[in-house]
Amino acid sequence: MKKKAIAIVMACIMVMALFTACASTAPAPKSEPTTTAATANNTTSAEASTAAEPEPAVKTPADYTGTVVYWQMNADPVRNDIYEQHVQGFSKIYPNVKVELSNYPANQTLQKIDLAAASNDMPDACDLGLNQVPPYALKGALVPLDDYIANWDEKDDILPALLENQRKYFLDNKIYSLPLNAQLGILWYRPDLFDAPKTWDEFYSTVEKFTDTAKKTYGFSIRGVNAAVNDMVFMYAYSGITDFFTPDGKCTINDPLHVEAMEKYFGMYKKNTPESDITNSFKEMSAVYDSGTAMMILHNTGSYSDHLKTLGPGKFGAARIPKPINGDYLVDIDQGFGGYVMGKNDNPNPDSTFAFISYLVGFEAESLRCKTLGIVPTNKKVFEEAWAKELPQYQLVMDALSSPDTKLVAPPIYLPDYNKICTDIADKGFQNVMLGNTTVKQVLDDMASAFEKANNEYKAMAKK
Amino acid sequence: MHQKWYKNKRLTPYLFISPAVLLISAFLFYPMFNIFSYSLWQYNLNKPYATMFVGLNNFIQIFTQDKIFYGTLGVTARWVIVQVTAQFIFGMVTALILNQNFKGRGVARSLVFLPWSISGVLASVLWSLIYNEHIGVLNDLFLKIGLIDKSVAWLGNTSFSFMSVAIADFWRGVPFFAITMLAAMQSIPMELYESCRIDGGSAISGFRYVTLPFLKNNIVLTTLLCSVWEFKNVDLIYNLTGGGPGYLTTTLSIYITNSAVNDKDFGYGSALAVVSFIFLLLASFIYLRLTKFGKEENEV
Repeated sequence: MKKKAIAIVMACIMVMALFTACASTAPAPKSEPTTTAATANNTTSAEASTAAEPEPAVKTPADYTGTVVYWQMNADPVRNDIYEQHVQGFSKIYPNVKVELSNYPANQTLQKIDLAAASNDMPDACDLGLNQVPPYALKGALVPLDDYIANWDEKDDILPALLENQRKYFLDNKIYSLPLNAQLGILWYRPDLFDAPKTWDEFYSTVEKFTDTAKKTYGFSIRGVNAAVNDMVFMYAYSGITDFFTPDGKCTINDPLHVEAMEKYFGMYKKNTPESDITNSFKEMSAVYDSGTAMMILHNTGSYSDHLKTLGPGKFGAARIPKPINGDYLVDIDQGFGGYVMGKNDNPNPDSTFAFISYLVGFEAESLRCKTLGIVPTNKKVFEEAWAKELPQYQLVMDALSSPDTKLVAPPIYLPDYNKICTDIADKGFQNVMLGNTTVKQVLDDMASAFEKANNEYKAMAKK
Repeated sequence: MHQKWYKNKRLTPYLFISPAVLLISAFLFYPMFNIFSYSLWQYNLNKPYATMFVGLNNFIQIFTQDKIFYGTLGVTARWVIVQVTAQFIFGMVTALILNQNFKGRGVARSLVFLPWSISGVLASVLWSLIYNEHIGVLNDLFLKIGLIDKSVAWLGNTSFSFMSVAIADFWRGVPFFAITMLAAMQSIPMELYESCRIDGGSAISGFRYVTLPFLKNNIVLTTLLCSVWEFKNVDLIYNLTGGGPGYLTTTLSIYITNSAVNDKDFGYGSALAVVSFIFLLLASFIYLRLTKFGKEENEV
């Protein structure tokens, strides 16, 4: 009887403790997310351990404690050094948080993360490619960052399109990563010869005007290999369609306006473009522009240094692709490379982990990284630096991704078959269009049906 | 009294060959076994959730549903025939020339063998520059001598892409035949040519009745080796055209590479590799039977 009474008392104490723990999930102060808010999607043990200790109302950097295990998944000597500096910079601000940095080469990413996800031993944080984030989120290996971002003071520094557009990639409409870097399709043109075309009619008339086959100069150069993003830019920017799939799961890639756009686009082949475009990847395409053979190409900011070296200042310019034929806004394809994610594990200090990844996209860290690696920042403050202001394409990216008039299409790069569809159906199909062996409509229909099938498989997998 | 096991002479040969057997098992038989095993699985790195045993499904798909597979067989057959025939003829002619006594023969031999020492990737870079539509030396040369009136995209043009890649590989492959034929020619006793000449035979008769019979086994072996190498040639084609434009230069090996490496579909890629292996095995067996390789030696 005595034992029974003790057991009842103990049970009551435990139930009360549980209620106390639940009560600590009250709204967090705006400055920082509370641990409990952060662990809402974390493991039960983490909830229990953190809930037991009430958090201070407003945390100062000194209040952050514990260890953050960070895996850098794109190791090379330069990046390793940069991340060492990031860790040192972070430690100065957060003296009580220890960051354990490990560097892994990009080709080990899948193997390492697969193993970690399978054994419920994810690192506290790591960087992943944009195509890798959705599948791991789907597997439940990542922590959604919405609550953290909502309470993050510096969230407005990040280009808004890069955060919000991410939701399109996830079935639960949440945000799972802080963007690594920005990117955009740019129309590289010749400002010494003509103004950048603002409309599609202007674009095609400029291409026509500056083609002189006798002098071996062409108005444009088409990318024939690994060209899916270029092709999509030309389709969606022309039509103004902003969703890759309709709500009922239909792929929009074979919309009649896209057929029209691509017929015009490939109509340039051999007439206004070099014949070798059919086997050209970006290096060859860029070389055609840099040698003065083609007047315009579509490529991202990555080819800037080549243009500067070969054409020289004043002879190349960066412009946005024209507005849709029926719209007063600009459409582009999201070309982000990925982001910083938080792995789901039983780390009792997820606040410290978010503090670290938010530091990585903060002004200090991003300025160092982008300047050293030549990549486009995501933090608006970095664009204000003198070195970034000297790069016109960076300002173009910032203006575009800050503007409410810019709509980003999210291609389903998370689909396991995405690359296969892009190379086997799109690349080969459009090469056959250029050779006159098939029609644009046939290729786009094949792509649409393959994307729909892959998307259905992906959704079915999500339900399992 | 029992001999200690390591002193047993019957074991000695097995001990000597055991390192080789171990290495071959580790680096040849084990990967081969894996390929055969993967071919029975749906195993795509992009779809780890869908990995499962599918039996012969991959093979059924190859032979009944794959629209690309039969096309690649045609391209492969054309590729192997063109390469082996052209390399053999030019290799033989080169060897015959290099077998003569002339001034600077040593330098000539070194120059002829040079392409053989260049790696596939380097050769592809070299040829992609030669074929370049805008800066390529071939267009420049042909325009200057009036063979063409405007630059041609040698690797992108449907009429020329296959032959352009074939010529690049031919350039790299000729030295192999030249080296092996020359080595075999040097082992032919000069007395035989002398007897042929005394009997009134011409140089052509010497080639027909002395050189060719002596080189027979060598020819069979080198053409077989070359066929196998060309069948599985990837580096040059992959780097020059990637199998394009369209599927015009997609051989079976390029298709396997694209399926297994690019698409990460190791199950289907392995099934294609098994099909390729069986084709090669059958072709080699038939070829050796038809040419009666090594039979004369065995009969002696």
